[in-house]
Amino acid sequence: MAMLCPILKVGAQYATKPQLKNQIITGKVISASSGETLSGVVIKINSINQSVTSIEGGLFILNLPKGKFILSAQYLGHKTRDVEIEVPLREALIITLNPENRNLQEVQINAGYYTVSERARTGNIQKITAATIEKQPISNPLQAMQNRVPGVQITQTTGVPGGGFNVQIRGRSSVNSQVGNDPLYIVDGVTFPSAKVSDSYFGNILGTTGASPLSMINPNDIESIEILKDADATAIYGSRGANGVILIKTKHGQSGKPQINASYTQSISKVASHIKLLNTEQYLEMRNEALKNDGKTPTSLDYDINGTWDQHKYMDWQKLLIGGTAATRNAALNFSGGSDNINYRLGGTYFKEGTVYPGDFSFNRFSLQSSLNFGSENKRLNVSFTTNYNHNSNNQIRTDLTTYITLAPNAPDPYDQYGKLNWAQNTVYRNPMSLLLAKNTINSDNLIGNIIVSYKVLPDLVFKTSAGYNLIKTNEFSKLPLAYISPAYSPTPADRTATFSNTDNHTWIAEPQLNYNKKLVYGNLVALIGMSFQENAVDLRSLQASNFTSDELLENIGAAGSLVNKLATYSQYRYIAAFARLNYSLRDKYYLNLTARRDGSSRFGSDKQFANFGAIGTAWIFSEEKFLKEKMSFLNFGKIRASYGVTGNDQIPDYGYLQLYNTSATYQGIPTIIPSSSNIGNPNFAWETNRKLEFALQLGLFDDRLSLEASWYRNRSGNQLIGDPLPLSTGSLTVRANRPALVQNTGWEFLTNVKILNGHDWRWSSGINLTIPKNKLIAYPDIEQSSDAKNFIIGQPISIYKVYNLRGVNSQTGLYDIEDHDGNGLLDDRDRYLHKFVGQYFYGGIQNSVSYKNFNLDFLLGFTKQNGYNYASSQSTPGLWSAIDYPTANQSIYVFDRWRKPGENATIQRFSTDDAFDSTYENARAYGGLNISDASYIRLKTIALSYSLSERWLSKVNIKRANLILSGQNLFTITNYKGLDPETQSMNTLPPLKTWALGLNVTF
Amino acid sequence: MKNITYLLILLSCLLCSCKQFLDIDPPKSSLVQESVYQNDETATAAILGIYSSMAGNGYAGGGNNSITAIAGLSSDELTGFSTALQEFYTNQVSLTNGTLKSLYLGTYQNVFAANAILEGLSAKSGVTPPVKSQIEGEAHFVRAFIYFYLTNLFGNIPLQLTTDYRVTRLTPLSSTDKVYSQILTDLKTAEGLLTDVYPSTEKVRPNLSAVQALLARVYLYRKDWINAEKYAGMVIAKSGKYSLPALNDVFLKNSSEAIWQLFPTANANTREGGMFILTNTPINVTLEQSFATSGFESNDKRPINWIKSFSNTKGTWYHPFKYKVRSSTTVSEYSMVLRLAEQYLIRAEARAKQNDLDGSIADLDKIRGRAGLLLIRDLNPGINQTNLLKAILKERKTELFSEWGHRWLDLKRTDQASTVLAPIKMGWQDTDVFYPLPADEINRNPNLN
Repeated sequence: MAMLCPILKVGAQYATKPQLKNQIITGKVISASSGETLSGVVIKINSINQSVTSIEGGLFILNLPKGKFILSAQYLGHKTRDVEIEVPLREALIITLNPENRNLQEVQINAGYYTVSERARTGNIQKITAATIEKQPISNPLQAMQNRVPGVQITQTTGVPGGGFNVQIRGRSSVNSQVGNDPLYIVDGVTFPSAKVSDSYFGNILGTTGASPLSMINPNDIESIEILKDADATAIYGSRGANGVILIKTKHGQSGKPQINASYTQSISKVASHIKLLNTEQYLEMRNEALKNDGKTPTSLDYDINGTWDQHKYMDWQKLLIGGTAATRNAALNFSGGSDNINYRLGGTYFKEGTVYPGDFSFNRFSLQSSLNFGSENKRLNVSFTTNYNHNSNNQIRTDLTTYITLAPNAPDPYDQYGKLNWAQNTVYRNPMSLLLAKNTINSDNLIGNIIVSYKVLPDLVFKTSAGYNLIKTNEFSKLPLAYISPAYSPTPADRTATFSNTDNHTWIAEPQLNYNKKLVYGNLVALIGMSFQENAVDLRSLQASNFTSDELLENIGAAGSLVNKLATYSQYRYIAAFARLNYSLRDKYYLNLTARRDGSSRFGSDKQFANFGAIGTAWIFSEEKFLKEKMSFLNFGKIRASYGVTGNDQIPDYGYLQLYNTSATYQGIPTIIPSSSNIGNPNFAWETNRKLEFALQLGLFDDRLSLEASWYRNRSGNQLIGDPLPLSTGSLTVRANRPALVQNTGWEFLTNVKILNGHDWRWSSGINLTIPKNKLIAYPDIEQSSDAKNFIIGQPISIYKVYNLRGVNSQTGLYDIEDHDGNGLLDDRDRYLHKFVGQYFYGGIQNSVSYKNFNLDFLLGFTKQNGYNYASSQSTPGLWSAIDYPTANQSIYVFDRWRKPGENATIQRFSTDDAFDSTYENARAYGGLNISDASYIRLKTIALSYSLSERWLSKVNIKRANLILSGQNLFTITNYKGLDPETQSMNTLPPLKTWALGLNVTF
Repeated sequence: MKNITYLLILLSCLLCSCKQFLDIDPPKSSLVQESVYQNDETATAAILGIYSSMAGNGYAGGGNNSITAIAGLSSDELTGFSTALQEFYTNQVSLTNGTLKSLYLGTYQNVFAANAILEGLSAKSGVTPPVKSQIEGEAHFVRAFIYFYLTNLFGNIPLQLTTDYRVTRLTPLSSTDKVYSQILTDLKTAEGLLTDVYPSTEKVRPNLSAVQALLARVYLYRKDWINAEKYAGMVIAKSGKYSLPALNDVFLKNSSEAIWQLFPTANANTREGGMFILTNTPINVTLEQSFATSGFESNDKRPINWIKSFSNTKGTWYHPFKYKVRSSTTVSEYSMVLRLAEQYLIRAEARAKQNDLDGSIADLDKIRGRAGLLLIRDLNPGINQTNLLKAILKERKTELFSEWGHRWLDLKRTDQASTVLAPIKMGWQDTDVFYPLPADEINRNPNLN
């Protein structure tokens, strides 16, 4: 506790020379906003190289000779202030510090290779800070951005812990679904993989995108997230900037007294949404009516209605399988501090998230984080070193139990009276509780290390180099014990299988840079040049073991009777670039920002490896013009900015340009190889290019009480990498090539913030963000020849779904009436001449922050107006059921509006168990647009009530600050969606969870 | 500023020299074209890949997508039971027929692989000279073999001799004559490169005899009787190597009659056995009933040994029984591609055409004798040329049925398709002798439509 003692702290290396007649001067630092005293403020006197730090009560002591001095007071979150004093003092020395960033325009924005003030930025960059992230009970940093940033569409694909998210910045730009449109993630300067890093098995339960790599990062370690959207901001990332860039910066230490921060959050979660399914009575009615319609009677295999199963029993499978409560714990301990030249932050976190499924499954994360900054005495050398280590252990089932919420409501209990799995005399082929035995464990370790060295070569010239390393190692184990399979299938030991997979994903990056900053007569010139070297290697191995003698031995690979190499891939990716930025500001009014990058990527053939990208960004702060300053004094800030530039997208598989040989079946027992015909080598393909245009207006009114940013963008993605259809005699169906197909994303983005109340006790600010995106396929040569003809229409968005003309239910036959458009007697792709839009019309969020004294209430309402896939996308004809093939046949109550007798009008066709009717339903459902409907929703994404304990009271127990936070996530949803959840839009995946959390945060 | 300019120049120079930085390791899970032809083992794996793919469920595999099945249906020897195969049976194959498309694509995928091998070996290659000649010879042979079937099934076809898709996507049609001339060029090259020693144990990779046997067939189809006789004679002359065993031993693995067999997919017997042998109501193909019950002479042992019937409550069907194993992990049979009996029949026909009737009868009697039939020599020694040729054609039908569409090709090359098929196939048209090129071929090549 030595640091608490009131000792004079002198900058270690600068002990003042003993001088005669020095005077001891005491002073005090207070905050201008609250009037409270500030401890930990660094007070420097540059002229004599002396510095001290204020202690409790804001006091500091200086030992100074006679004369004039300039004291410079620096404190985190406050503006540095210079005060001139003359020794001896005539009056008490009190320094008041103003909180920093009171003025919105002075916020510093991290643009990756450089930082820029909010005022001077010429590009579209949005920032989310730790203050926002910390209030949310979330496990993945991506959740923190949901509905907060215009132009960024984040969709959770499953509620399973560690599961995937779809992230799209300003819409999808590639027509080829194999070309990724994920943003570029950079964590502390090191690129972070966006694609799934684990084997495909986990894809089953973690959603189509697999485990989200970002779930490895602890959200509470994040200091800020910056989202780069337009050409001006992203062109410096060249070929990787087309889909936007997300920069994540982890927390760093701050100079000042050492402090300890401890936090603990306990939360409970349940699924956020339900679907109303048929109860036993309704279900039996449906089944019996279906058989009656077909003129059939129940067979001996119709266990659900022939009396084999109880006709009065009701089981709410939804409640049993996904109705549980998941408990989450999050504990963190951080230690930070530093002096003038060194600061540090060390921290550790433990996070454990349970699941809503029955059984004991959880996602655990243990992370260590350290950051160290060192500056030389002469301020010329600066070294910063960050390491993050995260260990994740995700212990889940292989299959999402959500699939089984549609089991027949009168199906037997999953356990018998002795607590054993109930197969009900082999009438049950799939017992959902048996799935709990098929476990999947994924252990992953992630290490991110980054070092930045900068050296001021000349007063205006700084040489900087950053080097980083990112390692993700995953180890996956998944098992299928015998007990998991119904005895009705007569399983044998050969059916016991276990999969062992390992993935290593290494990335290293090195980026030397030169920064030049020169004040000119009328303005300021900033120049930056640099290079980037990067390598990524992914090695994936997966072994499938089977034929174990016992379920207990499944984890022992040595006990397997047979081993099969399921998957082994290795890919390497290298990347090299030179980039430059030239920024000129004139009279702090006119800004010009030029960025350029020349990129080389190993993903392309040797003649196509290099390409140039660049952008121009301009801004005009018109509020600085005299004529406005005088006439429109209420306008404190006004800026118009525009940018245009070219970025690229190289998110294509590695080695695509090579003619590869794949292993083929053995011949005479000898291994063989055959040229890959699905990927005929094409050394000539190159990047997809994305031309981005943006205009924006930023306003600050009434001293920033009201701020507004409106942007319009147009991104045109051409040179599309798509399968160019080939005649069959080439030996292949398509070749991957750049085609002049063009996809356009345009949109409006609005961001406003109003400080409604700004008093001493009461504060209330409110913000709204809104995005209106529009996507359009402008050109696609020879689309008729390609397999895409059935997916796209020129002039329409690429997210449309081509459908038949579904003319409702025929009131006589009770079947869907589907138009045979070309009249050839067959329903085929050519009859799908209509289309339905799937996607967002608009989305955004409404955010409010209200505080009264020590209480603070924050909430964010997210809204999305969209069309999506509904309950029908996974359910077959109502009335169909089969113990083996289709036991999950229960339907949502929406199907009760069905046709029953001739002359009746209905929206759903007759219940049936007949295959022919089933195909009509299938056609209507899957290709007639029955599965697509409105999926708009409003969701209370976050609500957080926090209370700061009185500092006066706390100081008695040596606590600096303490906060209590009660928060909630996804607490309610308003929607007319017909299905389980409008966000995940699936009947087979776990909906997002709603969470209540209670947290305590204490700083010593 | 000056410093920055220098640095910029320096950096751009760095960048140029750093092109090497982008040279990456090849993917470890698959091989790159260049590295395949740097050693004997991978180059051999590449040619074996073609055979492995032929033995798969495609045009050469003997299953329900094979030439054996579809060409059999198009002629008068097989009946189809699956809707996918119906168009072949009724000779009304549409441009969008899925089986046709996969058959056509499958052949050209192997042509691509053969072309890739020839290109890979002609470039700087690390393959040792004897292995190089061997693989080159095999690749020429395989290409000729595939083009033989392509031109016989489709008529005029695009002749693809390179892997460069920029060239092959625009290749115009070549006439049958042009295709044959390429086939002969390939086979002559192969003849110079291969020897009579099989490159591996068993007879599952082609050798010189296989080249000669195919040459004999090609000359027969080209009506070059002298060369047909010559090449068939070369194979027949190797009596120490090839002979005619008892009927039930013909299709065994490494049978003395086999010139080239395909090694079936690991741990399985042939797809022909799997497809033809009935254990239930047929779903793929059976023999035409009339052929099975009345297509053979009365003493012929072949219907007894090579045809079997299956009955259940729904009816009785006849199926080829040349391959005796439907499914077993004990592998006793390989899929026959070229065998000695055909060489006797080729020489018999070539000799008859040259009016060497005695020589022809001697060859024909070799086949009849094994089948237990009375010999022409004894039965009708004075047979005239026309009747002898008829007898040969009949013998080809009864000897080579349900193998590689021999019957379909024989009917066409002897201009008898319409005469024979019009009475039994509803809506037969003379143009039905060729399958149409698939829609995805015609529509995607601007030089074809």
